[in-house]
Amino acid sequence: MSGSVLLKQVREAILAPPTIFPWSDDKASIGPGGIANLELQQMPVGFNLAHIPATPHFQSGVGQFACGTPKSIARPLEEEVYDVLADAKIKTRLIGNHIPRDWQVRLFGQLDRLHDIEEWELGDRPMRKESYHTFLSVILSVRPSVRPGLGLSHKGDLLGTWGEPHDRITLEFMPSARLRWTIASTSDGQLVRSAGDAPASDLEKYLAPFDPAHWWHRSAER
Amino acid sequence: MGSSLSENVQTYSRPPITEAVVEFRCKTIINDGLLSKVNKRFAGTYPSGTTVPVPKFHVHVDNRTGAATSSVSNTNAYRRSAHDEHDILLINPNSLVVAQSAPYPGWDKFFERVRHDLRIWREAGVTLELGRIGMRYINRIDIPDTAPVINPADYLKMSLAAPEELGPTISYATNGNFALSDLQSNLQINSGVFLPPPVPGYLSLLLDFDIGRELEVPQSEDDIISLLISLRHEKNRIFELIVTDKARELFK
Amino acid sequence: MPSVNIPDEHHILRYAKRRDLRTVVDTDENEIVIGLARDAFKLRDDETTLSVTWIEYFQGDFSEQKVGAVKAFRPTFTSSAKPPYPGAFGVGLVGDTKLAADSYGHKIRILHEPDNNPGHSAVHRIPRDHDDLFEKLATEVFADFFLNSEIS
Repeated sequence: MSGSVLLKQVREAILAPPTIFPWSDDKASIGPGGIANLELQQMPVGFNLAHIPATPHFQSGVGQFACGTPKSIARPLEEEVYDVLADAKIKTRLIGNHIPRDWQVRLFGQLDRLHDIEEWELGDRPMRKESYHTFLSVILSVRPSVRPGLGLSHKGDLLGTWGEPHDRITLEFMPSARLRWTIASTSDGQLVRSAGDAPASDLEKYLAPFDPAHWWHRSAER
Repeated sequence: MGSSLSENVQTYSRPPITEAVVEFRCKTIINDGLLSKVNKRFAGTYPSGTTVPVPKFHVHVDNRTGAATSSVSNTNAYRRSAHDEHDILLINPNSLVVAQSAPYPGWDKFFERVRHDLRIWREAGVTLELGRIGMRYINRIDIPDTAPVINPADYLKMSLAAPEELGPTISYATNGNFALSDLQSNLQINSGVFLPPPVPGYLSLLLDFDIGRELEVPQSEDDIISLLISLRHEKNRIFELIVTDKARELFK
Repeated sequence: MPSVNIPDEHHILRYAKRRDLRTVVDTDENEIVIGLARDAFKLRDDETTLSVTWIEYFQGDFSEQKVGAVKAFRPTFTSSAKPPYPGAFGVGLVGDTKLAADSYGHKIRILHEPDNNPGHSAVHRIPRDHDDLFEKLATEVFADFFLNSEIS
């Protein structure tokens, strides 16, 4: 093959639409009786595990099947749970450079145990992905050295608790980067409770009066 | 651009790779039965898995009457994973995708898995002609957001050129296509600023390489491996051309 | 047979699944239960009353009555009935439960309504959505708890 022909083929390949994310693979055939059968197959597109926000150029290529299927397709609970856990672990790995490795490993174990569906009842929902995203953003802001104990609300919002039985804070991680907190502490034998909700970005501001570092970092002195 | 097969590859203690992927794409579709068999073959290596329904649309047009009817059926793709989503495999109707999430374990470990999975795929019965072999490396460079102004061009030689009068670039996204004639391949590079920043207190830059060959795609295992090694070396060479010393300091 | 109002000075047991427990991580990196979470007191979509078990219905001293209540409850919630016996039980006074609800303007009734669990009782008129009340029940009224796994 001559160099000029090869270059022409390479140029044609470049000018073709981005092919690493195929959208469709259609083939047409003429069947019996002159009926044309056109088969269109919608391929799972992309494997962009990072779900990088799309620019107009690679809008069609941003993977939505790497971690699941369109919401329009009803799926068994086990598959929903698989999706949610896969998304959570991949999202955690993406910022893994900023979280201690053993912290991550233990966190994954907590998430798995939290999603043991054997004792779930009808209507129990797995963790909402958006709730976990809020959780990660708070972890990255606060950088607690202590892992939280985890729970799940009926709706599927992750709950994280730090502290001890008589002095603890529970954060409810809601979608859209919002938080709800409840604090319970015993002072002079009296239980004192406080609660609030705010954008996650304002968490430190609202918690400042409670010296939250003593929950996030066990060794911190009050 | 030429390619080098030198083993003097720059390695970093904290590589900025968030995702590494190799795709083997067939020219035609693998039948459902074989795809299911392939999925079962990989269950030992990738114990977690899920089925991904893929709608298949059929449009029937009677070219005598012009009447059209349509129907939808489902085929399946499969997603498998191991080690808490560190190792991922997508078994698609026309491709096998071997993916690695962070932390990147290094080329040797990743490549060993790619080779192994390719072999298993073929031994399971996928002997269709390959139409594309591709590799994708997504890098995210996290820059501590401590300076009043961070200029992406100080970290990447592929960013946005704009008149100084416009002031600092708040965000950008670029895409470039390049021919790698020696490898009969093409390269797409995506670069940009992550918005919103994934890590508070950091500005994050994307450097995403998508390198693939669709011309005279090798079919034998030896030739495929040889191509992947060449693509990887070329990708590394280009990465080193694009990142600056200031960026390198962040991943040493 | 008409339902019986359970005396205020008696106790009721409320089961909470793993996901409805409040836990913290201790210095040995173990996740330990420190109580029930708010949603342990939330009605499910198909429920109109909150299910509890009347402890004093059973025989023996209080410890034996608790064991009796757990063993009567377990078959009605199958996954709690086999090892490793997940979840936990909160113990609360009937009177305190009523007071807590009353403090938020809700007059609840706690009635003995045996079914497959002879100690089964129902909390009537508990609101469907009241996070503050549920938090109070979890943190104060049912602060006394024990793990399902503590009863063999």
